[in-house]
Amino acid sequence: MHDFSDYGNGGAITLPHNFVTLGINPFDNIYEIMPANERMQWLATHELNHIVVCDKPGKSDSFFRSVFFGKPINDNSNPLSMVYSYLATPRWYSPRWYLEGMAIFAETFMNGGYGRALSGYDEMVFRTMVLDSAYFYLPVGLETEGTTIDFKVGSNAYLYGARFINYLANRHGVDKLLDFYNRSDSSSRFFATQFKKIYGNDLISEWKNWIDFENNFQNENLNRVRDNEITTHREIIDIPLGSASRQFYDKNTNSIILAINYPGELAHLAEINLGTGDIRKIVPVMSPRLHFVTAITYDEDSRTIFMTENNNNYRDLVLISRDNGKIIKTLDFQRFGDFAFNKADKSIWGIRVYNGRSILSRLLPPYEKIEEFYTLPFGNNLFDLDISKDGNYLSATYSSTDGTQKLVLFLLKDIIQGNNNFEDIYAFEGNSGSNFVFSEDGKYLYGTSYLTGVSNIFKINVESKEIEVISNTERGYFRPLPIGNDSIIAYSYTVNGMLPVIMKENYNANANSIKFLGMDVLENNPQLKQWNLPSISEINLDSIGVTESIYEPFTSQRLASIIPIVEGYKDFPSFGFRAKLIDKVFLSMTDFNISYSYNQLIPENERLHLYLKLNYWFWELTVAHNKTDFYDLFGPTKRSREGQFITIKYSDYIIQNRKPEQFEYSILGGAFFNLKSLPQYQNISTETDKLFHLAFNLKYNVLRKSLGAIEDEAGFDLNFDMTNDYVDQLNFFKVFANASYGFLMPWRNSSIWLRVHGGKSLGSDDNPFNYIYFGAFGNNYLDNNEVSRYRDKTSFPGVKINSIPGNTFAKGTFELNLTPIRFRKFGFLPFYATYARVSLFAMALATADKDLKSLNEFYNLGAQVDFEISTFYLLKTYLSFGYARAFSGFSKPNDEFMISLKF
Amino acid sequence: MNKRSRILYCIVCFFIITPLQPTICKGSENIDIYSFKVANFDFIYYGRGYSYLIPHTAKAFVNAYEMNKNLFDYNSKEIIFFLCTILAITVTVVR
Repeated sequence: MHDFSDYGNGGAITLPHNFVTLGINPFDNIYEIMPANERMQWLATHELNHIVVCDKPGKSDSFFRSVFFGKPINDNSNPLSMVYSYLATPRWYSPRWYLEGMAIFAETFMNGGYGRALSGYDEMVFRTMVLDSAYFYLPVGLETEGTTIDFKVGSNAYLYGARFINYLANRHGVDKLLDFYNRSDSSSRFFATQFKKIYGNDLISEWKNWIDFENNFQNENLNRVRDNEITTHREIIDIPLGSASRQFYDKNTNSIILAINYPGELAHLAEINLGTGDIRKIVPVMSPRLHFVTAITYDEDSRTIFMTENNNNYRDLVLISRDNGKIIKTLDFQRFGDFAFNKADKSIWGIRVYNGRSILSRLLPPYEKIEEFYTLPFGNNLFDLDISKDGNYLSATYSSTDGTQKLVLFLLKDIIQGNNNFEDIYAFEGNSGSNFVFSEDGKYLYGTSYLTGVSNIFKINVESKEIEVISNTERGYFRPLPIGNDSIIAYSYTVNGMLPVIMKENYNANANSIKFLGMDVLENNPQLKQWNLPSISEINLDSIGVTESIYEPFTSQRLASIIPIVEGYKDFPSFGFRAKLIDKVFLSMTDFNISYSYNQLIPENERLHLYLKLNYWFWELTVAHNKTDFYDLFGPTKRSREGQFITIKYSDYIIQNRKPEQFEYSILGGAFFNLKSLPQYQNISTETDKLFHLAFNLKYNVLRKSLGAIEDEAGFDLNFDMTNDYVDQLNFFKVFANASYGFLMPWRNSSIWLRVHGGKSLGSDDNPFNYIYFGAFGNNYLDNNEVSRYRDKTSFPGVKINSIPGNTFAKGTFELNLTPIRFRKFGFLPFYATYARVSLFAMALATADKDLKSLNEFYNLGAQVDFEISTFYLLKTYLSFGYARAFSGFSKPNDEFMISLKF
Repeated sequence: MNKRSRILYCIVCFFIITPLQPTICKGSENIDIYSFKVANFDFIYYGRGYSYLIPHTAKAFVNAYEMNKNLFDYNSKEIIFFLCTILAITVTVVR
């Protein structure tokens, strides 16, 4: 369990042991995407379903677990582990939609209907897809393109999974659904084969049946909505904004201020003119949340925007000038959000989270110290705060542990005096009431609710507490903001995200209820009512038995697996075993390899191979004797080395938990014995008894991605390295530095990078250790290192590996990464290509001897295309092809072709 | 390495290592991690600030575990561990 993020979350893994992470803070309660009751109970049902579904072994799985002494992890340093891992835990290697679909089904019906299988948001997503004639992805396309294409990215796997499982339960019943998921001894290890066995139909055909069903189901719902007049609106802009934050209207400029995040752009604060629809970027949002980007509020007098940053960790509060985007002030790690601005005294009210509790808090000018007023009982939460224009009242939605929500009203002066009483304005019961804001005169509250199943706009009279619906939409309206006498700005949901619209208040609106697929499931499977969990008050932990102790990671290491391995030593195979020990929470780990090379061409004293790696917190100890490497079996790059070495490395952060900003360093010391080639350069021979190596690395970067990115697309990366080799009573000191700067191109997920490397060896002797060696892409035929190896400092595609020596060097690279081409259908269920991406590069390298007298210049042009291939969903491999032509003076150009399969 | 290089080396090391001393020296031994075992669960948590939540969470998981076990006929005796993601977890995928 942890308190390392301001929002609640959970995760589960079953390799090498069953393990669940729990973020203890409240969920973000946005758009009712995750309807929940008490969050620990709710998370328990979801995460434990993953454990049970993925971990339960069939007969053959149990056999392999006993052979391997556990459940092997997929470790790309030896790809055989991938096969072993699948054999021991096959259901872990299932698509995300499959696992999340069942976990969502369990979370919903074990929690009395509070879950995504009965969610108005999910209904809206699929209803809008039908309305907009959007493409429904098939299972392979969902994994390759569907989870990257729009603003919802990975959450599409949850949406599709929940919907398809609901469909299966509705059409074929819950018993068959459980048989489909149950890894019994007679079941098939691959989920799709098991599907055919249970349902008598292949998965793709049944998926297509679901799409037909969904179209009919949603058309019926749309007809129910159309029984009443549909509310009309004017679109402020013609492009949906993806995810959008709360919005603020400035009547002086007739514009709205908001934060947005949509594919093809990096998240940012923006100002949209209501008249022209022009969008002006104000400042980037460095750490956006998926669905609401960031929490903001706005002071129109001082034209200051208050925004949270570091949103995926402990949130900062940042004050920004709307006019020039300059940061006025930053308050680090305040854990304060869900803001409302009080015009009367310029204070900011919001919710602070700490140790799992929500605290209603205030920040007065000059905005330096937060005052905490009301700590809510655990499990209850306040969100969507607003303050009346006169500064007297604060409204909020109050969610309780039983899953109910209500709109409440606080008198601000009471809160300040320590009186936490509030008035109930409207109880939404099992529905959400969201986004409520005061009218200009403070007499009404405008907000949205799925009371009819569709998110419509409601207006509540604060005094009489009467509620009236003032819209009827086929899609869903969110975040209404009354402006003028009778107009409302709101977001209208589209398949590509939130679209700002403006409408006239409709006093005569009527809205029918729609059907929820989850309700049909419940009616057709009444046994689901038995799934509802009993109250936890009946559980007595003392009678079960409780043990409390201090946890020590190193002594808690246990054997995780022992697997047979084949590794490469120079050009020959060696055979042996790898044992892995690991502690319960992955803070301490030991890897031990032992193997033997039988080939007679290898000297006898080099045939035994031993390798030990020990990780403990920030420390890493490595000891090896005639080190082997699996990938030496396949290709020109050799990482196996004769002799012995011992290294110890310490890595730590200087700036931590502030992504995308990272500042870290590492220090490494090592001793090498009986070497025949340099540790870093395979083709440079040496005959030395002892080598002592010291290395220091300092790294600072701020790297960002837009939605659907396959790697970093913008920002900068700085590295500084110092190394010293002590050999034969001589020191060889080298310094290296590199800087990279990248920016996004106008077309999606495409970027340009400029990279500069420089370095110098300061040794005085004309010795191989006194040089840096350049050449080649550096990828092996089979490999486990970075795909884009041409970015390394010693890579120079077009010439042979290690063929350009230099005592001093400078290298510049221009790189263009083109938009990845995503494949909707290029393969079959367990094995398919995800994307292809082309990169073009040009390099210039200058090397010189130690006196800087003899300068050599080299240039190249090249391209690399990478295909990502997915096997059993989690096993990603990359097939790369590269070509480069290198030039040097008047010499004949050299060509290099590269092909590599990276695990 | 000549005298000039050695001096340069020392200066560079001094200026880089010195500001890092507080970070380097902080170590890991000051971080207390606690274990709360009940039934098939071992709740491992960092800091006493939210220890108030552990019994409640344990009850919630015992409750949900029984239902999931019964539905899928799951009878593993393997302990399920719960913890914090304070440092990088070596396993790449979390569901």
